[in-house]
Order: sequence, then C-alpha cells, then structure tokens
Amino acid sequence: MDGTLSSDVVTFMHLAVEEAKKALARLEVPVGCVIVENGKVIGSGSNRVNETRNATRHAEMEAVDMILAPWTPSECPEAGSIKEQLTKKFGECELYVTCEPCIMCAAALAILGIKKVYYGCGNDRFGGCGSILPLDTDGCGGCGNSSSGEDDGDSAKRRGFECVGGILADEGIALLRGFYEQGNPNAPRPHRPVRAQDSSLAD
Amino acid sequence: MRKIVRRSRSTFSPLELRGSMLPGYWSSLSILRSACSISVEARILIPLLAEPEHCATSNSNRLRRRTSVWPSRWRFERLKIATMAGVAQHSQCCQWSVEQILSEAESEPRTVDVYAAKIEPKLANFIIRELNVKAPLPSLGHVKRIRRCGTQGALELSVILCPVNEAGTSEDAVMPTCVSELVDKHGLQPFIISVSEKPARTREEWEVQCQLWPTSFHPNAGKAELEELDQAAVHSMCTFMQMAVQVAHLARGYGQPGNGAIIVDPGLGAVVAWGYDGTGSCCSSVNFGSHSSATVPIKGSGRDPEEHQNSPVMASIETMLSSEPILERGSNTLFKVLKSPECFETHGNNSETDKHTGSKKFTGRQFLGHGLHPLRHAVMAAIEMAAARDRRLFPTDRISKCRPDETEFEDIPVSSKKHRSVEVIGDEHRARLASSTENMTKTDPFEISRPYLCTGFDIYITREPCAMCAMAMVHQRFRRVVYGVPNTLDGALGSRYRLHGKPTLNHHYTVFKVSISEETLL
Repeated sequence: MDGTLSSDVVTFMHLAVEEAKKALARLEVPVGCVIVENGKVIGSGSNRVNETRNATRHAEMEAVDMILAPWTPSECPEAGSIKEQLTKKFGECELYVTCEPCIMCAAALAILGIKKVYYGCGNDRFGGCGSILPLDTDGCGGCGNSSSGEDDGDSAKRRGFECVGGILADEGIALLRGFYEQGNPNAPRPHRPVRAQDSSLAD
Repeated sequence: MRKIVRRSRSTFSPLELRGSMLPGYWSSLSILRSACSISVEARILIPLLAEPEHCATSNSNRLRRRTSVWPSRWRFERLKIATMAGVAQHSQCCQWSVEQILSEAESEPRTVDVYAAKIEPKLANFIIRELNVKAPLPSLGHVKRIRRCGTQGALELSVILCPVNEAGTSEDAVMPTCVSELVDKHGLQPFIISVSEKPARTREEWEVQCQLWPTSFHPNAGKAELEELDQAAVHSMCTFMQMAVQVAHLARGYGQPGNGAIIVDPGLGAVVAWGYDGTGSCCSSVNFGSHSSATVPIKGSGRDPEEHQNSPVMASIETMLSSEPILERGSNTLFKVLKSPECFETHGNNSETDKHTGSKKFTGRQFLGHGLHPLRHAVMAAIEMAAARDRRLFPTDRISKCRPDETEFEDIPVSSKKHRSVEVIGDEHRARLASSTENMTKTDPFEISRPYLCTGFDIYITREPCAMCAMAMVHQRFRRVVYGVPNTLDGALGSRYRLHGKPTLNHHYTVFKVSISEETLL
C-alpha cells in the first residue's frame, strides 16, 4: 500500500510516529499526530490522558488545540462567522495519526471539517473511521441540534472527510503493543492489595 | 428541622454516617448511600448529625478520621443549599418522567423452535436430570426447561427436549440420539413449540415471553441491563437535571447554544463539575464583527482576561459567576453552590496550572478569544473541569506520601465506590499500587482514594450528546448518563447511533432520558 502513496505521506506519518514516541516516554498510550497545511506541519500532539486526568486529551485533540491556540479569527466582515472561518481553515488541513481516530476524535474532526485523515493501524475496539462507527462518511453536527432540527439547516452542514488507513501501520501497532506489554500503569487495577497501613493511625 | 433530625438519629447512628464517608465502609452501607444520594431529607440531616457533638461516642481515633475525611461544616451548608435548590425547583421537574435508553433498539421479539413433549409428573425429576446432562441448552439459559400446563385439577408437565435443528430436513434426523433414546424409552410424543430467543430486558417483554413458554427474568442481574428506579431515584435524577437546565439557561444568557452539563458524585450527592456549550456557533447570529460585545462575559466584569489565560475554562466560569446580572437571573441558590470552592477551586491553585502551561503543549488548551472553542460542547467543558478538580485534589507528587496531613486534605470531599480503585503515585514515575476498597477497610483510611477519571460519577446533559461527547464520556468512565432533549440528527445515545450498545468498547455506561422539552431550555 505504501508504494502507491507519495513519499510526503510516509514522511509525515514518520513525524506522527515520532510524536507517539514522546507519549511513550511520558508513560502515556503511544499515539501521535501531526496536522499539515499545504505541505507544512502546523500542529502536532500526542496523548496526554494520564497527565491531565482528562481522557479526551487524545493526540488529535492536542494537535487541534495547538492550531487553535494562536489562531485569531479575522474581524473583517467578508471573512464570515467564526465557524465559517474555522471550517475554511481546517478544510485545507490533513491529519496524520499513528492509530485510527477513535469515535470521539473522528467526530471532532468531522465537526471541524478537516480535509483528509491518514492513519496507521486500525482500531477495532473504538475506531471512528469505519471500524465501529463510520464518522468519516456520516459526519457529525454536534450536540446543539434540537429534536425539531430546524436550526439553520444543520443536515446540510454535516460532512465527513476523506480517510486513508494502513500507513506505517506496523510501526503504530508495535508502539502500542510495546506499551501494553509493559502494562498501563495508570489503568485501574482493582484487585491488587495495598501495602500495610501506617501503624501510627491506630493510636 | 430538629424534629427530622431526632427521628432520623434512631435510624442512622453518627458512627454509621461517619463510616459512610470513609472509603472502606462504603460498600457495606448501601442504605446510607441511598440516603446520601437520593433522599432530600437525609441530605439535610446528615450535616447536623455529623457535627462533632453527636459523635461523642466515637473514640478519638474515629473522630480524627471523621474530621479529616468528612467535609467541614461549611460544606454541609452547601450541600444543604444544593438540596434546597432541588426542592425549590421540584414543582417543575416533578412533571418529568425518566426512561432508560437500552443499548439495543426495541426489536420484534424473536423466537426459536424447540422440541417439547408432555411427560408424566412422576418422571419429571428423572427426565429433567437426564436432559440437563445429555442435552443442555446453553443458548437458552433464560428459558425454563419445564412448563406446568395443567387445565383445572390435572397436573400436566411439558419439558423442552432440544432445539429444532434448522438445517435438518426430516424430523427423524434432527433430534440427537441421546434425546431420541429418551423419547423412545418413555414413549414421549415430541411436538414443536416456539420460545423466545433472548432474555427479557423489561418486565413487559418478560410477560409477553411467558405467553409462549415460561422464562426467567432478573431485572438487576448482570446481563439484564435495565435498572429499576424507585421514586426517590427518579426524583433525584430530575433534580439534578433541573440544575443542568439552569446551566443551559446560563449559557443561553451569553448567547451560547442552550446546553448544559453537570457531573455528580452520587456518593456525595453533590455536583463536582459542570460545563456549558462554548461553541458559540450554533446561534446563527453569532458573527465576530457584530457580536463581540454581546457574548463576551469578560467585558465589564473588571477582570483582566490575560490574567486567566492559563485556565480559560475556569476564567470564563469565574467571570460568569461574578457577573451580577446573571446571578440575579436564575436560581441564586444553585449558583451559590456552583460558586462554592468545591467546584470552584479547581483552578484556584495557579501553580498547578502554571506547571503545565509552562510546556508548550498546554497552551493548546486555551480557547479562542471570548471563551469560544469549536469543540467546547457542554460535556467536554464539564469533563475538563472534572479533570482540573482531580488534578487539584489528587496532585501527583503528594500522593506518594503515605499519609497526608489532616489539614491538607480537610476540604477534600472523598467518596468512594465499591469498584473505585485507589491509585498510589510514585515519586518519579506513575506507579503502581491499586487496591479495591475492600482492602481499604483493612488499610490506612488516609490513603486517598483517587477515582480513576470519573469512575462512578453520573453526568447530566440537557441535550442528547453527539458522537464526540458520547465517546468522551465512555473514555472518562462515567457510570450513568442522563440526558434531556433528544437530538434526532446527531444524537449518539439512541437517536442516530446507540454508542453504549457497541460491545467492543472498553467501558459501558447506562443511559437515561428525562422527558424535558425544547422549551425548557429556552
């Protein structure tokens, strides 16, 4: 499969793998991601779930926020609303991630209107690009819609993104496997005894 | 008030109340759990009962534990306020009904065909034993093997012999030899009958099933996911939903989409975090050029937005709460609760935030100007706040010390659930030990029970979450999701998808819907 891809794609995926290694060094689940606009990396990130105690801080979210932090919407009236400007911005971005985006990230990327996603290994437990739910084709319109659905024609705004999987999949898997073999130190382990208590308490 | 307390003291001794807040005692005191999380009266009386003078019978050691783990007095006051807010709003929310959203859509009850035969009552024991050994029915565990079908007086029994093999064509070929031997031996006359394929999920389904052939029904057994709620639980749910609605109103007041979420620790019966939609994008009128003054809560509050750049979520909350017009708007009592340190000090420790913001990555957590972020749905904002609270209450570096100062943790509302794990973090690296709360009873009660993410917590959202938020709640390990208005286009918990029914996910929460209307959120 790699043979049919441009060398750029593989290069960017290598950068994502490098990001994933950073997560591994911090004892996080090793998934890394870069976002590319017009051949230039404008955002990168890796998992920070354990550090932040926030399980939504996946690599994709980190990279997206890295782009959004310095971004300021144009105040010029012709530029349109903030949402239109954002959609335009992300409509020119491609995202490279070492593992298939989960359902949450895939929905988030659909909400942002990202142009294309390249991923490494598939995620048969909660992949959102076809493995469990096809958010790349279904798109996602967000929480705000009411049951009546009359709000400014949201169904028309909902769109998915292009998605290509299997790029450097072996490297993505190898990272994850290495991590899980050593054990996720932050996962709950409900059946382990805790060490002996402090005797000073008993007085 | 006093009267209530006296009456209840006979039911709940001070010792029990104290114990209920200690991690290890939790599991054995389910009655107190329901008192804390559900009953309004009980929640009012607990603060009074837990005053030290009522604990005179406790020995000093117990008293020490109590004072360190129990929230201090002012927190009880807030609990009380929270309860009062619920009572005040009850007139509206008692109109609501609660329904569980099951993980599989309602489908036509499916049946499978089986061979059955009438048997002599005298032989019943023998035949059943033979069949259970020779022809067990693993896939039909919910179906009763034997049926009493007596018509007035005469007792008649029928047993299921074996499933009808669909592939088989002639009837002789489809019955296993062991069964046909039994049939021949006792001269049985097999006939084909339909039984339900799957266990009943609701009582109604079960009643329908039993018309075919009796089945068993366990409403709260492992596989049957339906939770039967009593009146108090429904009331509690509606009360918390009412709070979420108020958060949605608050958001609406800022020109944000009307959607709010609150995270509740059912053990404490208290709100631990909350959030509202900060996308600003669903209001068609939102346009940067024209709305900047209308939707900027920071303006006029006398606060410097730069000051809070490191924690914009919290900054926006603080600004919002300090904004007088808004406080006058909704229910004051609720916002006093929300404003209280327990919810609020999650960002109070700036050094904690600074430590993170020092790294480049964390600047990514900042939101666009004016508190907007395209992905800042109510659920995401609430999770962010819960995570901030977690970081503050359980700072990584300090948990390695085996026993923290009492004063240090005096303000920490720690509740624990049976299945919530304890995590002890090593000095340099994220370590290692975890323990069930059963072990906690035998060990140091000061070993702070740090919940794994939001394990055991409930979240209330005024609208059905989209796929992003629904999955975020899976990741964050919520126990229960309660939402209000369905989202036919994008709802992921019943409308468009049924995310909580995906078997591959590593966590599953239960989902409830409170029947609030769109108008409630306006």
